Amino acid sequence: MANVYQQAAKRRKLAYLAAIVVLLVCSLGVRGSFFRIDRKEVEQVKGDPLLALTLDGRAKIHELTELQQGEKELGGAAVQLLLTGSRGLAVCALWNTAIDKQKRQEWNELDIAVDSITKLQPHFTAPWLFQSWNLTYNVSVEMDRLNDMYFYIARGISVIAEGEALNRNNPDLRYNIGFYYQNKFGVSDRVTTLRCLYQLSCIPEEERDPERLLNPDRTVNQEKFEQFCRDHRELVRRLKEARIPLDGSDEKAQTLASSPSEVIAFLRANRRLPSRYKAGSTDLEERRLKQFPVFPDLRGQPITTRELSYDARFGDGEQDAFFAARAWYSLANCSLPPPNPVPNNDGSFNPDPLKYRIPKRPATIIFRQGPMRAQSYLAERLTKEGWFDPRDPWIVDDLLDEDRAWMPRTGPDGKRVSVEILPWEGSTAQEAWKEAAERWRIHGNNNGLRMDPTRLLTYLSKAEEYAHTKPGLFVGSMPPPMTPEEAKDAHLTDLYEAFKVMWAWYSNRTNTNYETFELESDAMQSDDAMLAKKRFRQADKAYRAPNYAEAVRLYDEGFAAWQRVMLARQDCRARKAADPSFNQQCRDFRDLDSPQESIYETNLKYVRLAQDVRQRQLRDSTMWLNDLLYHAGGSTSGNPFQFACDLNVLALDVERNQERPADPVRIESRVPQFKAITPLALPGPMDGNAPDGTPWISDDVKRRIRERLGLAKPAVPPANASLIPTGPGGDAARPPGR
Amino acid sequence: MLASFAPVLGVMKFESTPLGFDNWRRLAWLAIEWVEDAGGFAMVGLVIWIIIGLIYPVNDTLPDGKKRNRLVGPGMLLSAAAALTAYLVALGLTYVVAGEQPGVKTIQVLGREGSVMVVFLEAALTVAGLIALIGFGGPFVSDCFRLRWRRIYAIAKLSFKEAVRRRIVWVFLVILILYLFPARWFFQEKPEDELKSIIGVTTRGMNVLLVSVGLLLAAFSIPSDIKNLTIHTIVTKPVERFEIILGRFLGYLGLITGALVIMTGFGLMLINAGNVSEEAAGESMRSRVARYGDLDFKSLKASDFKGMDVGKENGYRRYIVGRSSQRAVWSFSSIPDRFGTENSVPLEFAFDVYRTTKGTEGIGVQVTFEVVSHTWDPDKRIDDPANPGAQIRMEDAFNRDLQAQKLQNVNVTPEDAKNWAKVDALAEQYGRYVFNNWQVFDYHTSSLPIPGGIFRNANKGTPTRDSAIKVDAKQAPPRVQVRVRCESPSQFIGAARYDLYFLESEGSFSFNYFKGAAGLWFRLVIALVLSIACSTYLAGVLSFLTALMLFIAGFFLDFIQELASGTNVGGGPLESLARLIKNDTATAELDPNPVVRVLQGGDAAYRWLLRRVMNVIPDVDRYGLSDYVAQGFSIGPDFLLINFITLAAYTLPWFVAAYYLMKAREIAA
Repeated sequence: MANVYQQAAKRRKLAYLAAIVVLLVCSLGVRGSFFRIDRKEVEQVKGDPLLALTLDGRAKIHELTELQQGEKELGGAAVQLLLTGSRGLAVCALWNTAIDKQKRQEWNELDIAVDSITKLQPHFTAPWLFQSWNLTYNVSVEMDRLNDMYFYIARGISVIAEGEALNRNNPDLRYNIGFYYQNKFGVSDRVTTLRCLYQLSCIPEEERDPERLLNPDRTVNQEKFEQFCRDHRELVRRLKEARIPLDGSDEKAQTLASSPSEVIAFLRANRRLPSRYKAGSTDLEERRLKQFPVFPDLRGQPITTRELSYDARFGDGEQDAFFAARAWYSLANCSLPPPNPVPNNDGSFNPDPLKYRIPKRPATIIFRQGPMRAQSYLAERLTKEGWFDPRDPWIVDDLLDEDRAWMPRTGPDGKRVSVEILPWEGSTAQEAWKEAAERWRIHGNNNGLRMDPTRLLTYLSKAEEYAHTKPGLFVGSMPPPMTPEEAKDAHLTDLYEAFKVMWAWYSNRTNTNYETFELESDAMQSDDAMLAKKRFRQADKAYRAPNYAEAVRLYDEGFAAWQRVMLARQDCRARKAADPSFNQQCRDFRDLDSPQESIYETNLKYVRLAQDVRQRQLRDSTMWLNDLLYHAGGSTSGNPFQFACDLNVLALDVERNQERPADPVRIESRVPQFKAITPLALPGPMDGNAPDGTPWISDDVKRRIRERLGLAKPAVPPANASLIPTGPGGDAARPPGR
Repeated sequence: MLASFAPVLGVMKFESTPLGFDNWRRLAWLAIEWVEDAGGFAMVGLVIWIIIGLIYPVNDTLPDGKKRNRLVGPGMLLSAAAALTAYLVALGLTYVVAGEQPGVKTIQVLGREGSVMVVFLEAALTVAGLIALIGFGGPFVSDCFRLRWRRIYAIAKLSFKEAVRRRIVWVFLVILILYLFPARWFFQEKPEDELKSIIGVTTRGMNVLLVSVGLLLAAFSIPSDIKNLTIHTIVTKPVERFEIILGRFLGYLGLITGALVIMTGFGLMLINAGNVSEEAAGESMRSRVARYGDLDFKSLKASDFKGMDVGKENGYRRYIVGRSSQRAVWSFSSIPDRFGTENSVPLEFAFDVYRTTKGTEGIGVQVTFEVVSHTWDPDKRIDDPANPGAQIRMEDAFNRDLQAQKLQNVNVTPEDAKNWAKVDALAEQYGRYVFNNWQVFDYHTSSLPIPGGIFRNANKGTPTRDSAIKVDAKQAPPRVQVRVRCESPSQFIGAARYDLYFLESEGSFSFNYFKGAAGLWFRLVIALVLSIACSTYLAGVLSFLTALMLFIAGFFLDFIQELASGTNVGGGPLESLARLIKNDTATAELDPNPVVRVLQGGDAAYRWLLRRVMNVIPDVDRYGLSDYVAQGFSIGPDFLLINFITLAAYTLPWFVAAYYLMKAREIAA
């Protein structure tokens, strides 16, 4: 029998044990461990009030459990566990290592360090963003060889895509992936080769095996090569026709491949690349994140537009980074709150923080237009590469000598014919512009960037009325906060709301440049715009052929078509002409800077060419003009023999002497004058005025382009008088000695 | 069209010249520094030992009945007194040196320059250190003669068996997992980097696991024996105390060495059996024996031209600009005779490209190579073979012959056997070979064949300082020089000494792989020695943590060195703390107020302490030989030997310390 102390100790221990068990059971109950919530659906948990009260249940409803954060990475999780409390220390050491490796230019080591850092803290988005940017931009540009550069761009994108998979619903990560694709494969300065490499990544290695395209004697197998060109028309055309400046000079530009064997050499030099396909196989990589280019998993996402999915095989027309950018931007928009069709400046407002996220940057209104921007870029790319409309084939050996033809063919009449390849179905500039116009329109309506004119007018008149109530306020400026007294006045509140709408309307349209994109896509989808672009491209080719007369003819056709495009889209002008009281800020397609600059550059090129081609006629015109002025001035002197000094008469004389050199030369000393005669300056088709009397191209654009091309000296800015110090009397201090 | 890409090879990157027997002056200075450092510690140990020995004497009774202190003998006292005297002299000399004015006359000793007083100071410190070492190490050396291999072997065997019984070996199986899952499954890397990553990851894994196991085993062995009283079963037998330390050390070393050998073999097997990409095999599955030269930069515009700094953060390479008189020149003072018998000898190189303009896409920077032997003198007048009795400038004769052979400005490769023979003959006749406009790409190594004729010519006669190819007075007259010139205007190429070499031969990758594992073995030895030495005095956990801390600190030795010498950004710990509190940037000058001065004074004291501690920290980075294997370079036997010597130099003082601590422990008991 135990003594009293022993019994007390025993009772105490039992009480402790009971308390421990009770607390444990309670804590497990509060947590919800008995209900196996991890195996239940969210709706099931929401429907059961008991489950919804538990910690696990609430975490499940609010999507806060580890499994709901994104895909799981077991290797990283195991290492995190192993490191116990020293994860921070390890991450700091690895971060330092990464900096050191970058400094020493040990890229493969840097890559491993980056991988380790992100594995150790997968839900911290800053390292994903920073290091992926680092690899894609800072490391890749260190590479001299473009396939090395491509590898590190791909690595950076793969790193951030992995981060996106681990951090579900993060708009910043998604947007950045789209931005990397768009920026690196769309608008960087080595874009032509990078685009080709991107396209190779979308083709199974076996299909682009250079050996497959060769005969046993190592010559090009014409049949297989033609089939390759048909299957990958955009790739081959880019290799053949896209001109890359040499030493920064467009004049000395050359193509990536000037013969089929050079295409094969390109394939050989870039055989080992990150790919969507398994090595040496035509099967797609099963794991989405092992593919490059990596696409998002769009299953179950509220996306209404057609976007490419990671499990699809892409045709030649879809092997473009803008498709990837568009898909990622679309996915990024899924994380945001639904758009508001009324113009507003509430970009950071989140109606349901548990469901939606607000991006850190850029501004939400700019963030939302990612897919549309990518679509416009895609359309621009197709326009630039010459895939204008479905009826317009790529004539492979257009304007080439027979011995330089890639696919020499003879027609039934024995004459040389060129192989023609139609654009990939659905992959033409016109279709892309149409889709861009449609996307921009829907985006504008949904986000308050586009409004019915009547509705807009209503807002405008109310806003003007409100502006009149406060001195110094104008429509479009930031509204001051309402006073409590003002807020009680329903009419004033209504006016104030309209004023706010107009402020958001102007600022959002300016910040996003929406009007430009909308007008441009709308104009470019027209047949005339495509015809103009087609003729300009053909004229450029004819110029290089060289076939100058043909080039001039094609340019003329192109300018005529372009003028039709400009005249057909003058809604703003038409409205202003119809209603003199119309005072809204608006522009037409012909007012946009970018098309104006582009067409004026073409115009200048045309003028140079036309002056060369028509030099003789223009010089004659100068002489006639000179004689005309001479006579006009001389008639007052009344000298009837002055015609003997006419330049035309003298020129004829010189020509006669040249034809008959044995004849005595009468006025040899005047010969150099004829050579120095400047041909009459020829105005370009876009130099004059449109039928409405306004210039086709604004003077400001003309000046800018001429300055950029070195045809005019940059205008000296006016001296700023306020910089000159003034004396006590207010007089400007004079320089000493004057 | 894109240029055809150069084959991918490799270069080594050494921030400082690796140790070698060819630089005996550097070795001599290392030995002197070792004597000074180890002697300093020996002096401290000697003083402490004498004090303890005099306070707690252990007396032996002599036959004549007199007592003799077993711990402190007259020899020890004498050497302590002599060493102390020498240190006092050194202290006086330090004072003199501190007061020396700039511009004092200097002399050169073993290639190092200093004033007479500095030389005397070094000599005094060396002598003092040596005496202290003799005094402190004397008993250790004399006791070493009493060691018996049989007893050491028995203890080692026991340690081995104990470790096996504790199922330690199962831990090693974890390492094998690293090999079973190729790195490409986890890391997406460029094909040519695949093997580098495999070797890097597995070496790191093996380092962590083997070193941890070694530290744990050794740290807990002696403390556990003492705690469990099992040590009495040993110490009651006629066993030298130091034999216990050696036995434990060798037992664990044997176990871990066995594990290392098996794992290395297994790893090699998996690498060979694994599907290593073609590019990776070409880059890394090799064992190149490289012949390096000395690098100089030359320019017609500046006699002291040292290459340009293009502003890169990492200043490892210096740069020369395109289309200028600037040259990067490698001088080779010795050339293997075998080179002369070859049809061609590969010259491998990788330069850093620094562009100031974009250049042309797909086109590398163009570089011209001129290889000349010591007999080449462009202005020398030689007998004109075409015109008997007349003389001609050597360069004119060379150009005329090139023109006659239709080889001027033509780059010939050995595949074109007929022309190559002509190039080879000309190279042998004149000692000159030129290759124009080789395209260099960033981060890719290229290989250029050099005709054997150059080397046959170079091996004729003896180069002298009067030869036309000039080098610094410090360098031996070269037999062959490689002059590199950048031909692309406005582009730069950066070069370091180890960026260009002649490929002497190729060894076996497998053998090299094992040699690379020797580096890990060296690290394991350090870990075991540190652990065992600490465990002779400290408890198991403390021994483990102390040894671990010292070992890890070894990886940050460069940073510690910067901190100790006050060259790091942001100052010492107190100054950094002040910056953190005040939110100042690391590079900003601090306002020299009294608080800051006090803090900086505290940091100075900390640095002094750190400089002493630094000598205790092992230079574990030195033994990272896996880089050689990963880059495909052979690890030479002399390099292994020199590393072994440095290892012995580091571990020996620890053994001596362990010897005394074990002895002291017995005294305490």
